[in-house]
Amino acid sequence: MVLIYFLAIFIGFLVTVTPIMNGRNSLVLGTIKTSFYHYFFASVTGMILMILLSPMVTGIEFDDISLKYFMGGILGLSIIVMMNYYTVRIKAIHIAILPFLGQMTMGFFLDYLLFGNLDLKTILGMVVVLLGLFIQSSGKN
Amino acid sequence: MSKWLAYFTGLILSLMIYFNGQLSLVTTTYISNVVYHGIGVLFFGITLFVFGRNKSSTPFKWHYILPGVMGSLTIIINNFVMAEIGVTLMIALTMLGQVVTSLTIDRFGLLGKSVSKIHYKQWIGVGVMSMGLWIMLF
Repeated sequence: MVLIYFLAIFIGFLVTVTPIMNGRNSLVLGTIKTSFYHYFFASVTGMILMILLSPMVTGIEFDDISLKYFMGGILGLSIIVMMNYYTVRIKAIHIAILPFLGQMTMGFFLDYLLFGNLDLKTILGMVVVLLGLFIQSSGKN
Repeated sequence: MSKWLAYFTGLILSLMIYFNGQLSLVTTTYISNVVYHGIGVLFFGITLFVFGRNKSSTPFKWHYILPGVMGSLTIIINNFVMAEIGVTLMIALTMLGQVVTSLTIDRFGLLGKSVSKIHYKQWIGVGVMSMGLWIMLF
C-alpha cells in the first residue's frame, strides 16, 4: 500500500512538469501542434506499454461500452488547451494549487454521489490539507 | 483570468479522471489510455491539417516527446491508484507531490520559470498538508 501512496505522489510530479513543458512548447510551436505532439507520443507510449504489459486483450464486450466512457478523452481536449494557455502565465505553485482546489471540489462530490463515501476522517484530513495550502500560499515570495 | 481558468480545469480534471477510470474498468487501463489519447490525436491531427498547413514548420526537437510520454504514464498510474485508494485520497497525495515539485521549480527557476524565494510559511504549509494526509490515511 505504501507503494500506491508513493505512486500517487509521483503523479503529482508528472502533472506539474508535463503542462509546464507543454506550455513552453506551445510558445514555440503553437497550441495545436504542441497538443498534437503530446497526444501522438502519449498514444505511442500507451500502445508500447499495452503490448509489453497487457498482451492478452480478450473477453471485452465492446458493445457494452457506452459513449459516456469516451467523455474522458473529450474532456481531456479542453484541459490541454486550457493548460497550454495558463501554465506560462502563472507561477508553478499556482499551477499546482488552483486545479487542486477544483479537483477537490469535484472529488468530494463524486465520492459521495457515486460511492456513498462521506467519511468524517477523510473530510477532517482534507480540511487540514486545505489549511496547509492556505498557510503555504500566504508566504511571501 | 488565468487563475480562474486553472481552478475550472481542476473541476474538469476530476471528471476526466473518473470517466477514464470507468473506461478502464470495462476494458483495461492500457486500452483506456490508448483510447483517451487516440481521441486527441484524431482531433488535433485534423485541426492541424486544416489550420496548420500554411504555417512554417519548426524543426523537431527530442524534448517535444517528453510531455506525451509523461502524460501517458500519468493516465496509467492514475487509473491504477484510483482503483486502490479512491478519488479523494489520491487527489490529496497527488497534491503533496505537486506542491513539493512546484516549490522546487519556483525556488530554482526550473523549466523556464523565474526564481521565486520560498517563504518559510510555504514549507510549514507543506508540513501541515502532510499532517492532513496522515489523518486521512491512519
